[in-house]
Amino acid sequence: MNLALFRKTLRDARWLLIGVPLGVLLFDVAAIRVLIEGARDLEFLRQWLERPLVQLLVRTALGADFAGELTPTVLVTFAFVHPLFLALLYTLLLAMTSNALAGEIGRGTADLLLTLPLSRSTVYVTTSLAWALVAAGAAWLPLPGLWLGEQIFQPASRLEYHRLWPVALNLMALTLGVGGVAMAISGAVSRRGLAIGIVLAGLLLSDIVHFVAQFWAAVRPLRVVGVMHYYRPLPTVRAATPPWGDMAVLLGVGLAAWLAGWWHFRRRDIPAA
Amino acid sequence: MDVVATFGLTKRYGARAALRDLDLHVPAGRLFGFLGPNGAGKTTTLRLLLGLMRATAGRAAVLGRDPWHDGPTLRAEIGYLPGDLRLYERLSGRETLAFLDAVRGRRAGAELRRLVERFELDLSRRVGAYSRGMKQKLGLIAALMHRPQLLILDEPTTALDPLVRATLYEELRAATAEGRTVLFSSHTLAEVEELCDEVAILRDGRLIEQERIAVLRQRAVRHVHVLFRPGPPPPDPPPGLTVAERRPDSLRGAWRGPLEPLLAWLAAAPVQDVAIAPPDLQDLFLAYYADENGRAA
Repeated sequence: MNLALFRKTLRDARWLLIGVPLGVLLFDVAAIRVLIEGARDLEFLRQWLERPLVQLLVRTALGADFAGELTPTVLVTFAFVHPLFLALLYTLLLAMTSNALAGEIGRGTADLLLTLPLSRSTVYVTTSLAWALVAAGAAWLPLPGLWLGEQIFQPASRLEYHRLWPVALNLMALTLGVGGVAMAISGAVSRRGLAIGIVLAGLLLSDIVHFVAQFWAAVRPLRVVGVMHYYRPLPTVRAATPPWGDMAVLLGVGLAAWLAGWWHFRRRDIPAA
Repeated sequence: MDVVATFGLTKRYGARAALRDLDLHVPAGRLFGFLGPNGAGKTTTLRLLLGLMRATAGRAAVLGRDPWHDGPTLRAEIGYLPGDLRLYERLSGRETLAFLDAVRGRRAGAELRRLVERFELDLSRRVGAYSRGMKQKLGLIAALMHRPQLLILDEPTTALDPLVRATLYEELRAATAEGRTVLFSSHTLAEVEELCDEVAILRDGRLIEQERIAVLRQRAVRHVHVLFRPGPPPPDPPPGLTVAERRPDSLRGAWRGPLEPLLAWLAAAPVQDVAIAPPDLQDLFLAYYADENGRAA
């Protein structure tokens, strides 16, 4: 661990470190507003959610049906899987992981960084600590965002945070898992765009498999490769306990990829830009 | 003691060999020129010496250590300027040097201030707003500021104006006077001739010569032009004189080696005028650069 490099890694992402948390907080405040508006006509919402296509989408995104249970805490789980929220989270994660190694090599600044008295392991571990800290923190942002929304809009029914924190914990495992894979890819390629492209393509493919597996029995066995198979906020909220098994898979895959990336990065040639 | 020593160092990219069986020895305290045409393998060699790449075969020892396995401790004693210098464009010059110094353990202090003053660099501006020459100055300060035992400079004078180049030469000479070593890659012959004590010449990934400049000068040709007085023809020229043009009243040629036989022949000949140019390393280097078929590389 090198403190100067750790600071530089965070500094490189400073605008994202300001913008993304702000965006997530605003999104969650807005989510509370949407929740209040939806609660005005619960019967309409219930009927809409019972449509087969909507049920399919809910099952894909949240990991279960609402099954008529329309409490604020259950409904707000959509905020944890909304594409905008996940896009903000992944933007921060991929920007940091791809910049840490592939970005340095692609820009040619790796010639400066890797000829300093730092081992490649130190560079890999230090930059990983920076994004891991940020990713872990970002996963918890929805909770203060939702709380802030409640303070601003004062809904009639309050959220049950003891049911929501396990979702944030699961999300943290998701970001660390995806980050581990993204870091390994960043250390293996020499262009930042390629590193981001590979991770996004992987996530997209995994989401397609996850979605198709909801209605196509032949693909169902493949759903275990879908990232979202291990991040199901609705069952987690209902259980009010962290999904330790799913989290273990996410963290295990992320750790394995991260270690493989470390092993490879220590041995690879660094090409001239 | 050799500061840099390589033994059969080889680097292949797939089927293509960028470097083949390099046996290079750079003694301590030398200003060592590393010369070769583009693509000769100079940068590949430097990257291997810095541990940025792993050799396909052979080994290297830098300051007595293996650059691949002992990278961090070794690089604490190396200052490196890449040939194609890229810096953190969003940082200012001051922030760049502060970061590099912090990683190195904040030891530069007074030396850093001296170098900034010497190279007259404005550190307050963003590196992205620097001219190419200013970036090169910043890279040089970064390479020199921790007073490394070995300086590896890959074509360092690119984009430098003559005044800054002269300042750099002074700094490098001062470094070697203190017993530190400079490995100076270039494809500019005059620069190496002016600055270096010793030179290694690479072509097509192979070391084709390593010698002291003074010795190379002895090997270099001197261009000779003789005008004869009218009268009987002069005696045949000595074997060391390669005649390019011979007329009844004049001779042009190139002389290689000690001057005594040439002077003895001139003394016996009816010479009206003679011009013997200083040794021309340019021709020697170009001869090294030329491939087996005589084409320039």
